[in-house]
Amino acid sequence: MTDPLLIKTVIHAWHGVTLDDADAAGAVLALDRSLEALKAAGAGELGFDHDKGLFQAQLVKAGATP
Amino acid sequence: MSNVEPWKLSLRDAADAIRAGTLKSEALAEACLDRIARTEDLNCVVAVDRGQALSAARAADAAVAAGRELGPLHGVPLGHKDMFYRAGRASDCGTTIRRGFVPDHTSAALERLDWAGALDIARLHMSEFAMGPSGHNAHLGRCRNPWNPDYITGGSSSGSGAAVAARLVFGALGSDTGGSVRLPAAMCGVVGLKPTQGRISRYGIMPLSESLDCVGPLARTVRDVARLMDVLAGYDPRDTGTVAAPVSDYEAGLDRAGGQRLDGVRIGVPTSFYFDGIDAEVANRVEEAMRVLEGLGAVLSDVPLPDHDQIAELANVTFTPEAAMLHLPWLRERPDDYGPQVRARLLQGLVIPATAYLQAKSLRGVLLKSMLEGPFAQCDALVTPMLGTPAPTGAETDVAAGEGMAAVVGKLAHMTRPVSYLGLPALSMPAGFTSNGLPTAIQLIGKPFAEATLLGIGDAYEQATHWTEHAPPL
Repeated sequence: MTDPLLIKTVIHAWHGVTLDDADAAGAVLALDRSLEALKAAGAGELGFDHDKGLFQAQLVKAGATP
Repeated sequence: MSNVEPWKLSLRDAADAIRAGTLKSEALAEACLDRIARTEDLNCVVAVDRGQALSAARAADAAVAAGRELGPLHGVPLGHKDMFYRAGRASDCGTTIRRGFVPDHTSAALERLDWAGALDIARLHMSEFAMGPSGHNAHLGRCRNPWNPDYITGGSSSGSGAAVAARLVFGALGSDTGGSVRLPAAMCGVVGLKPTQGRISRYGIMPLSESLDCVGPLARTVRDVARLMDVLAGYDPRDTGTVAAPVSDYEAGLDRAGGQRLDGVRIGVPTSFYFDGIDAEVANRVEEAMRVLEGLGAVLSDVPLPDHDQIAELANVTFTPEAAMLHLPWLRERPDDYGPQVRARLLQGLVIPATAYLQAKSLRGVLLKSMLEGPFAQCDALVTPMLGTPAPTGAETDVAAGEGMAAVVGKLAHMTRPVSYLGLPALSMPAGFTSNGLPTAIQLIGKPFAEATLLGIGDAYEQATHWTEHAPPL
């Protein structure tokens, strides 16, 4: 689990925003859940040559074929 | 028209009656304004200017009398979520921080509705900064559900759902970043469409998430929504997120189809995520809806989906950093002017690493591709519940309910958030009532830019069930 104290320190240093203990704990829970989902969805395997414009390209393609 | 109280008409019938000269816009506006005045307890209208509304209505009537060319919404009273900017008019965005903010430009969506002749008679309640699926607002108080004020409306386009359901206006704009058009439509018993990402310009609306924000209409019937979409849809160079895709003539398409049969339409029923653990009563309503669709000739089949639990979470990874970036100066300088839950959600965005955010954005294309090559290779649309439980009460979703509140509120957007991440269009259709007397709904999810397909299915379903003819007893 990410350390909430570390998060409080970093966010205050980076952005000047103060997180209280409850905010920090909530944010860390959300962060860890997010990182887990990214890992499970294969984010680590996207690779160097992945098509980062794929979402928009597919919308454009779908929109061009009524 | 003399035998029908004008506020009971559909948007389409009202517009056609004005055009035909059988109904005066002024009479319609007066009826709506009177209903707004009588239903203040719903707390769904933030501001209304009676004098301005009636003046605009009289001008609309004069245009009819003069035989001028009329737009498809000529003289019809609408109201909108209080985040659609109009030059010179305040947009409070459901907040203390933006209270009294007067934009110097008008949103593309309002420009288009103006062009079509619609009247803009009210600014409507919304969750603070469009963040919150319940309709609670720490600054404005809770928007009440017209079916029973003890219950929530859903959010964040809370006022749009309530005002349309209560017959205060004939249609409304909402915004949908994770379900904010569809949820109030479902809980208030009206039709709500989240279009494909890029279908409607977001120029001049309060921004929340560059990747996920969508503008969508709420109205009483599918054909009303189709008419609004005919006006709203299209490319706009001022919003680089719009896609220059051809726009269907949505209403004419429904007229051509006749709305009677769905022979050969393939509708997928997801085998995971959407039906997992839903309330039995809701499941029954959805099952009944699926039988109706089958009875109309649609072919329903089970379809597996990519892991939607992950997709729902990836929506958060995309949304929260984008929202936090926009709010950073106020998070620093005015943290106490946010409601606690909105502030806490925004703060989550500050701790997401840039790499994680970019991974979530990249996976969006990968997962959309897997949807198009998987379930949408087998079917034209998906049908799902809109809500996993009957609509909850205000008390159950209030901060005073403690940890129980978080559990209830956390589930509200379960059905909607993945669709937002995938950028797909989705239609919330009334599907009857649960035993608490509140509406429930089905969600029809389509391929990108397949709004016409969704409206066609919704129209046939509506004509078979007549659920949209039910109105709250106000």
